[in-house]
Amino acid sequence: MTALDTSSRAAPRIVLKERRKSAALRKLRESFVIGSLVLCALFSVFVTFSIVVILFTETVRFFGMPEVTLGEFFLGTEWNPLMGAEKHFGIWPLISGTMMVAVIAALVAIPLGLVTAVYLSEYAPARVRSTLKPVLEILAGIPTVVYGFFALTVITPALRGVSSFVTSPFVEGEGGRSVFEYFNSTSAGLAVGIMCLPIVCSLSEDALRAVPRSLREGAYALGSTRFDVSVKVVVPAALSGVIASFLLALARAVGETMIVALAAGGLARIAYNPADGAQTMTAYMVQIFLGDAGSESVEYYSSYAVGATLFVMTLALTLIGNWVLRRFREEYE
Amino acid sequence: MSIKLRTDPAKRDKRRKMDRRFLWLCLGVTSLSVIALSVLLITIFAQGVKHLDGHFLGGGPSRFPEESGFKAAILGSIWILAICAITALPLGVGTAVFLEEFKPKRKIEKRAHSVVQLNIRNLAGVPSVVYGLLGLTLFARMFGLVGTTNQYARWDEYKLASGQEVVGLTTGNQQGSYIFESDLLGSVEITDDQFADDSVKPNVTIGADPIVVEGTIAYDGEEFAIEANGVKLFIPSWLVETEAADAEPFEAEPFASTLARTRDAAYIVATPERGEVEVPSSSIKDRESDIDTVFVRRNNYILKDGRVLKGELISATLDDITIQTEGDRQLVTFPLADISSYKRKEMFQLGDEDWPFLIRFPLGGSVLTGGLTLMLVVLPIVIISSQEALKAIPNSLREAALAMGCTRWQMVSRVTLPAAVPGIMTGAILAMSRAIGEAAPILVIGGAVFVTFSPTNMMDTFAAMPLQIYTWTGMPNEDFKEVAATGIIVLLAVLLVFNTAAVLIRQKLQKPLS
Repeated sequence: MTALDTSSRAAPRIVLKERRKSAALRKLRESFVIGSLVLCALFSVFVTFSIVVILFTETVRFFGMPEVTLGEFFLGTEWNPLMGAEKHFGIWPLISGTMMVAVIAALVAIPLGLVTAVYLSEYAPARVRSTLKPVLEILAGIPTVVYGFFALTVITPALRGVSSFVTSPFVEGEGGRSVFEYFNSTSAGLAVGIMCLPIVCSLSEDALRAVPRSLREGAYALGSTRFDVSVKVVVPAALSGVIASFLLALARAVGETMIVALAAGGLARIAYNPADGAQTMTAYMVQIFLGDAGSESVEYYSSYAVGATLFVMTLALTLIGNWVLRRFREEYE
Repeated sequence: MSIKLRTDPAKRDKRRKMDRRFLWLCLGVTSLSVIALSVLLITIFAQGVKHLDGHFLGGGPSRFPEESGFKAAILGSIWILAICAITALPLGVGTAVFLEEFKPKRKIEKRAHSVVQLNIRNLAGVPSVVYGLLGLTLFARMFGLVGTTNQYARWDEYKLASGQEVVGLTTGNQQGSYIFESDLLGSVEITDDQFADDSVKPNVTIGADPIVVEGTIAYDGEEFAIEANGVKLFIPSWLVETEAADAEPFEAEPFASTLARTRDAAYIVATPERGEVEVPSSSIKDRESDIDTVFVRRNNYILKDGRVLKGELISATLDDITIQTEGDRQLVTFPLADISSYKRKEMFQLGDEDWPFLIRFPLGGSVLTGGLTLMLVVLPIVIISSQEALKAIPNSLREAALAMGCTRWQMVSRVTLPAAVPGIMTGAILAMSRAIGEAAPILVIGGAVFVTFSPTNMMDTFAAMPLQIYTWTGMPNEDFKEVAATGIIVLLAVLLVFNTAAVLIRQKLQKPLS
């Protein structure tokens, strides 16, 4: 009887001891896991940190070189690092080229993307939606080098053909004259625009769909047409999301590389004519890294300075975009 | 009480007309994107379908459009994608789990948490070409801290008639003299009579009989690239006597030249006037010098007066030496006799050339650099999509697990993570399809443009599909655009497979959770 008693008392004690042991083990494992997860999260901070440090130090080294002055870089209108006896490093030709392509892209992507988003969220029947969404997803997933190929082999010949046809009655001789150069920023801009269209569309549509039904129903009850509801109620209500989508798409357009490297040409000059070629910041970097610029040369380090400028521009657009999204979000419900 | 709405029939009709017009506008605009996609696909297929055959998938790049192949680029892409997936997935999912499942309660931790979150959003907006710069500096060059990749070699040791011993790299020879590059002397010309005796003259002789090489043939205008018995071989066109068509052997003359450096199972020899040629070590009958050391030219020079100069060798004669110093980049010339000793910065290497996991620092434009750079590009995408997947798990599951006495990690590893796997997988596959199409970062880190062979270890140079397409598109010969289109068809087919897999996983594995 007593023996039975002790054993029945001892049994839970052993179990308890085991549990305490495993609890300690568990705690150790838990802290180990949390530690490694923290390291994972810190890695992304490290990436940002090293981008900033690398761009900064290599840019400082670039400005330390005798051929370069800060004033010329930020104010100069001549970018001529590879040809000629005298090298010039004025960033404005590259910025103007980038802006030219980005503006053309925005002119394509923003109106088309917004209208498509309004259609998808306010008008489209489920059947149309289910075919249109995959089309946009495919467009979003196509590699940019493919868009570059498309720009060069389809859009450019089409632009040149159309402009020759239109001008043919006014030009003597046969066939008219193409105003578009073989490499031109319009072609690149159109391709970048098509690339950005799904971004504008999906981000705007998310914002439009987040507008509560009650607002729409209220407007319909007052006798609004769907056009009135879309344009006067839903779009204004989702404006912060819509503007954020524009800015994020613009950031993509500014940072786009392969399309402009293929279709926009490699001549750095102040861009004012969209029918001419223009070199963007990204295309310049491609030119340097494909070419034979020595690994310690001024040209080589100039690509870091250009990269830093590009990084600052896209970061500003992204930050403003995310800020607009948070700051001006209309909270419903 | 009744409310009377004033309705103006004319205005109402106008509004309705407006509504209908807007619908037509919508339809027109929407169909534009469908038209754009169809035109894109149709034009690419029309241009590319001609070259799409077994030869394209199995061959290497060539000077002829109709003989160009995509094999090296496909295999290169597979290598870098594998490295990218292995590194990006644990890091990305780990970050997402930390951000979603271990939400902090203290105020300061909360702030750190939101900084990390904002940081990831901003990383997602960084252009891929900037990631290329990061990969170039961080991986490929490693800030120049561990030497440079393009200046390593085996080096030769020669006794001169003057009694002087020189150690270095022979880069060429002309009638009666050798161009000799030594890490101490720089580029020096040594005449025949300066050598102590003939036997120490740098010389590589390749078998006396004509070499018949059989293998995959590619030609870039100057060199034939051949893969024979698994060995990579580049033969300059002047060496080739007869060139037979595909898979037929052609003959090469034996030639003598000087050893420049080694790569894989081959020697790169410098030949008079014609530059560097790669020769498989198996085809070399006899070789004079073979000192197995790796060197770079960034040295520390300790002078007899105690000064230490650090810098990169620019040029040297047998009397003077000119270096460019580290830091202030000044050119300094000083007499050779002043040097009491010098120290090489040696390259760090782990493993053998035959070992697939060979690592050599700095990583250079290698497969490993490519994969890691792509990892940086897609990491924010993996994190954000994994976070979305975890967010979609209903809280009731978490609460149940915690109520049963699970620790946080037990809850994550046994409940939330398994439930989120379909979503995470879908996001990961989409991230990989983004990675496989990225050309800009690969281009910046120095992915090779004309590579005939698939990588065999992590330090090999590589070709990648998007970069190969870019190269073909940019070629002056218009016929190459069709080849580029064929490459695009293959790339799009791969992407289609990826996306189908993503959709299938989403449909098959996703169980309703609430």
